Amino acid sequence: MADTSGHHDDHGQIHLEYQPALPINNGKVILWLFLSTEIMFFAGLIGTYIVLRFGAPAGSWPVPHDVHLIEWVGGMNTFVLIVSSLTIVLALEAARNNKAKAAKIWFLATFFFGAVFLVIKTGEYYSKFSHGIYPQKPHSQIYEKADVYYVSAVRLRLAALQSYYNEKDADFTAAVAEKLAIYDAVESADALTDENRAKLVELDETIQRLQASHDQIDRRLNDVVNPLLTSFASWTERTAATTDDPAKRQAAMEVLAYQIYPLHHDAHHVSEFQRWEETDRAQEQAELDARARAIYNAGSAGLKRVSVLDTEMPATQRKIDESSVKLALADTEQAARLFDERAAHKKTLADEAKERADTLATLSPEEQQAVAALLSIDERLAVLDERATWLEKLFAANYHQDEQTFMNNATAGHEGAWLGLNYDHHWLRLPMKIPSGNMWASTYFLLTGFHALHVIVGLIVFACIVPLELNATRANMIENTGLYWHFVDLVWIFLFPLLYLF
Amino acid sequence: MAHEHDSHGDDHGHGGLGKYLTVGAALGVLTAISFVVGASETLMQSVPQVGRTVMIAVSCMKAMLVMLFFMHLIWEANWKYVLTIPASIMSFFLVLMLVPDIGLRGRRYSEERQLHTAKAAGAREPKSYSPLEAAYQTEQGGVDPHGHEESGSDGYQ
Repeated sequence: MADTSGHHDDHGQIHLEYQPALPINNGKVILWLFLSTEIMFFAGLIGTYIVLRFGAPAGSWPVPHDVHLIEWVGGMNTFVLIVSSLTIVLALEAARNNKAKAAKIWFLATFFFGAVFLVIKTGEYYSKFSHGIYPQKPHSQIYEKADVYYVSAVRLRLAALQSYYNEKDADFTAAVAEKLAIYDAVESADALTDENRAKLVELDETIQRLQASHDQIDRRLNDVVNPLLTSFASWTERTAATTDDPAKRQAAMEVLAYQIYPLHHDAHHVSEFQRWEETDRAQEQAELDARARAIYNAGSAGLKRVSVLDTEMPATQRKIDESSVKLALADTEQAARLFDERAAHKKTLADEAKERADTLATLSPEEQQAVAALLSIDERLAVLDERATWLEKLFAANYHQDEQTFMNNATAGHEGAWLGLNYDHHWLRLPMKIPSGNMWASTYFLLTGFHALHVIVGLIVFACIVPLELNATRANMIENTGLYWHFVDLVWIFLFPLLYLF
Repeated sequence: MAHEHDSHGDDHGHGGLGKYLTVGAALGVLTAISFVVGASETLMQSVPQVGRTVMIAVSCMKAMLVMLFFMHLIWEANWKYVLTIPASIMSFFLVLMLVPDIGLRGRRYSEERQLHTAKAAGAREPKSYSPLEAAYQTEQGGVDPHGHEESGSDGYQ
């Protein structure tokens, strides 16, 4: 397209001037052609994000806080890019006026702000990754809905944690077991051979060395992982598998998802579901109690005795376990006393077991069945009891009607809101329920990733130009670089409200 | 503005420090506006459409400012239309083509969505809420809190 302009010369003839190209330099033509393909590329990506985001089922697209996006960080990045756009324009202006030094300063400032943008972006990506938000599965802990796949993923993660910590603690456990085995092999603490004593000293050293790490592992396992596995994950899986009412099945799984990773708009119905569970639990407990009492009262003296022994024996076993732990950690002076204590408990247990077996043998087959029934009732009651205890301890939150969310009873920090097991114990990294979260992660990382790649390319180009003398002859080069950089800014201008504020 | 310059192909001497700084300040102010709008919970919760429209309008204004002044398009010859307008139209149609299959994918109800809807229905009336009742009502097609036309009776996915 030639720009033709005619004018009259002195002889009254029209003289046509012909320009072989656009009235701009070739580099700029190429750059604008490139930018027009970039417009299509990014408009396609951004438009696709909009279509996906507003086509998602109502209320299912994650709000920024659900996925650890912080508005002011994005706002700061917008500002940083705008300033860098301004500085590169000023660099061009200075170069055109042949002020090479000023141009270089503005150019370096642009490079600096571009780098600041990337640093902030890296921080943002890191906070996603550290919360288990990745664009795809092997690392991503995002689940679309609280279904059986989600609950079994939670259980698998907890089981993996359990075996990981058990393995980490294996040396300590082995040393303790060996120490106890040595004590088990002798009649009394005085009967230990010199060889045994030497071995015990060696084991004590190992135990003391590993004590601190064992304590930490023990806290994580016994206070968090094990109760979560039995009273949360397995409990939920069992409820979901054995309940007939589909709404209650769903409720149990929603409660688990909320305890791990609370989404604000789930708070109300989860509180309702929890009330269901409490009512059901109380009802089941009352029924089981009544049944147990009926069986017990109708039974013979022998059955009653066996039943009493069945409650006493676990208590004795617990005493043995406690004194075993004490013995394993004790030095040689205390060992003798603790050895005797443990031996006494063991003897009690053996007596009780013998008495139980003897009494059981005198019972009729029907009564033996009744004993088994009582045992299974006790087992179920213990499970219910454990669930209630750990629920109170690990999910230390109550629904707050005015705030429409769960408030943490244990801590007043963070305005008291319940932030989830994943927040309280960040090392857990349990699977999270974030509706449309995977779609969100894919589009977020694709959009910001392509944009960040453009920033990186821009920085590389800047690095190549910075060593040059930025006088008027380089003005075209700076202008073309600037056009590219402004486009990168343009893309972010649209990404910021869409990703952070919508 | 500045249309008297349009016929010139040559763009030297149009910008000027003052103009660039003014545009830069305007961009900063516009960013602040969209941030304030997006961060105000009352607005985004009561009338999100208004907030979103404002933010998109602000973004378009920022984009125009950057293109016109920083990228000098206001001072360029008519070739600028050849390169920008077709590209914009084509990207618009690309997005439009996604709407039937991708954008409207949520129009059909699945069983899980019914439960989800039931929950959302309950969230509106916290006092009288019972999940079972709400689930039942939605199954009957009675409550449709999101204003979708279909009640889902034409088949589950």
